[in-house]
Amino acid sequence: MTDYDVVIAGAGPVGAILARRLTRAGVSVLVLEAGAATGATWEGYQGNVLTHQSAIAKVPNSPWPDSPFAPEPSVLDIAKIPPGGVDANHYLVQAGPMPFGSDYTKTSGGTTMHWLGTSLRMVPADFELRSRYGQGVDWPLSYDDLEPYYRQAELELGIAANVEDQRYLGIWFPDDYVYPMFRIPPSFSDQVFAAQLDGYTISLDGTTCALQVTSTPQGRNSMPNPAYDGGRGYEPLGAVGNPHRGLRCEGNASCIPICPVQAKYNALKTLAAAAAERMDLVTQAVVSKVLLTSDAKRVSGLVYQTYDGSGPGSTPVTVTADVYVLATSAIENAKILLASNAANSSGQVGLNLMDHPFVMTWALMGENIGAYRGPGSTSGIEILRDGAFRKDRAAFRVELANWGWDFPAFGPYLQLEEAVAGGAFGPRLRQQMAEDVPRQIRFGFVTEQLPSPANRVEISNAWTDALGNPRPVIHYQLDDYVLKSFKAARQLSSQAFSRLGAIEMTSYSPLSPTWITYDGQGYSWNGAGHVMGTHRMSDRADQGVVDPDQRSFDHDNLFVAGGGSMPTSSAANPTLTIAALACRTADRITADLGRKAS
Amino acid sequence: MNPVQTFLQLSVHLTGFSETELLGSGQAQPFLDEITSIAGERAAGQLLGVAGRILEQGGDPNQAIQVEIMKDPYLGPLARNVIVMWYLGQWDQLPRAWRDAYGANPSDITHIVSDAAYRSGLVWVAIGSHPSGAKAPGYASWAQPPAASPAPPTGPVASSSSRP
Repeated sequence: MTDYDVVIAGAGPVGAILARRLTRAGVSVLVLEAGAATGATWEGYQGNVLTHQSAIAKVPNSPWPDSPFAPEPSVLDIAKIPPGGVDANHYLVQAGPMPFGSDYTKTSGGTTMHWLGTSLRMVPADFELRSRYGQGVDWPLSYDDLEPYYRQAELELGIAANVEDQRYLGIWFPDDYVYPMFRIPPSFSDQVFAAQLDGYTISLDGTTCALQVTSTPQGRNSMPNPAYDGGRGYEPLGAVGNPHRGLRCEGNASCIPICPVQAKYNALKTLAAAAAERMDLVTQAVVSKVLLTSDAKRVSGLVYQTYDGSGPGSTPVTVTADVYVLATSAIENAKILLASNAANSSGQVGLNLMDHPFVMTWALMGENIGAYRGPGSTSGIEILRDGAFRKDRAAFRVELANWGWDFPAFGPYLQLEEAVAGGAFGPRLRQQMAEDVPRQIRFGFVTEQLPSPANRVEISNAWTDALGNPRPVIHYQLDDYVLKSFKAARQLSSQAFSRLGAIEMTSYSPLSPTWITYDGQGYSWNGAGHVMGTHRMSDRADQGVVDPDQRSFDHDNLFVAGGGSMPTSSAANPTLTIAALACRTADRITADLGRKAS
Repeated sequence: MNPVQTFLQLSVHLTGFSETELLGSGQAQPFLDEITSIAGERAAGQLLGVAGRILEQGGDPNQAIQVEIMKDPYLGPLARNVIVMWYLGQWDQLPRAWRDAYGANPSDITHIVSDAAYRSGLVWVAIGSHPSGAKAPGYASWAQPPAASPAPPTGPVASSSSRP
């Protein structure tokens, strides 16, 4: 007799989708979340909004509380790593040679609480990188296998897009399919870019390429499409605890770090739609280990420890279930498996850590294009997410930013400070801000990163947190496959900026913790917050940690789910794919339990 | 003029925004309190004393503000912090030279004065937008061409004589 049918570690998007689907199928579920649930009530969520507004550094984790008992990485932690040494000053022990550049959030709702909302499907070639280009590995799933689950994920996350915009590079949809909502209106600057860049031919990789600006599918409420679901339509989901707010994006221009009205999808919405009578959710409950049966073929329990503001709970608790799911994000999943000596007969646990190294370019337009308005990005250049160049260099997509230089140059704060320091005051200062800042434009290159055993998560007894759990030790670097694409990014940018009549202002500092040189040019880059790899999916037990269902090869009642399962990164922001895989895994677990019940 | 009125009139000339716009933010008293508590009563008093004398002279005070306040090693950093508070809702730590010369206060660290001060930041108005995460302009507003930014006042701006 077990405590629950299923225990899920992690109340982010994966845990929430599983909890909603399983409880609706009659399965009893316990969800354990390491972080607090401050955003789960409308009043609590408004507190997160004010925390963000009062924060001097408005970084992605600024609204979300941290705890020594469930510590989380922050982009503010990132520093140069001493050669041959480690930077252990913050939660992630950065063993280098380069710092891992991304954060994630431990809170109910997970990192969807501060995601941008970009919800792209991967292109078919992304699943066959080895076969087509001799790079990385193939997935044990194809686009065709995942397509029905992409549609389910687009319902779970409430995606706004027009199908006719999204058929490129082999992406296909059933003939009668429409997204739940019409696309988010492209920003004014998107429209300016499209007018100038669509069909404009640039030279890249020794060949030519015609640019195309494409509306981005987004987990963000827009106008529902009455043709959705065979004409049944779709009803946008408002804020948790205040369902009349957030029914449309209001243009708060704050998707990251927090949408004040929850017009942007977050996993709290999915948790709230679970069958409450069959779900227990315990927050501030940190899973430390999976316990194995004596023959190690199955998991026999999950160990967690609670805490609150005054300190840790008295003793660790063991909970039992028929099925166990780790859905704590890629780095945390690997950490728990390594601490448990579980699921690692392949030796692959923790290896192949990936992100989308994110290099930015920026410029000043000749006229006001209305920077700092609307969602963070509403369009992209997607056509370079695949091509013959992938034999040599990484794919990327170009995120066309709506918020000027906020990310690369602390706009508009830094420009104001510089103007004041330069002596401007009064009407001249106001005029200078009005004339310069709304002309800021920025491209961001979401760059594919190959799986490599050198990029990995380890644990060590030397580094533990306040509960005694291991802190992740991260080994990370960029290879030439990525750096060649940084160079291509600069080449694309200079041609596109020239076409737009914009003055390029890109500059990278050797003082940056991520400074790197390639082919005579220096770059600094950021993490994209897209943490992937670490328990990769394979069709061979000796080459992967989980099978295509995200089931552990070693323990048949353990599922390890999330971005960690992705064998390769593609150049697509990963959340929609992660959600699609979760939908697929929910079906498998339901079937497992059904078979058992019969 | 009482201290808040003087602070407000000085702020009009420092920011390029009208008295009405500044009053509407509700931040005049909080910002005066901030500078008084962090830089000290003597510093705040001297800034307002010089400002009051300049403003009472009438005419365009910009030249006098430039010479007697902005270029003054004691008052210049304070005036620049007043501008940054109005534009960003943020108190910047005073320059090291100022702290060394005139005294360092442990509460003089760079911080957001308050969430309300952040929301009333003038930089967003100046650029024709709104503070990120507040005062949302509405669905699809971002797809419209940007409105021309409101023109800053030209010539002498509101003085105390314009108030009833």
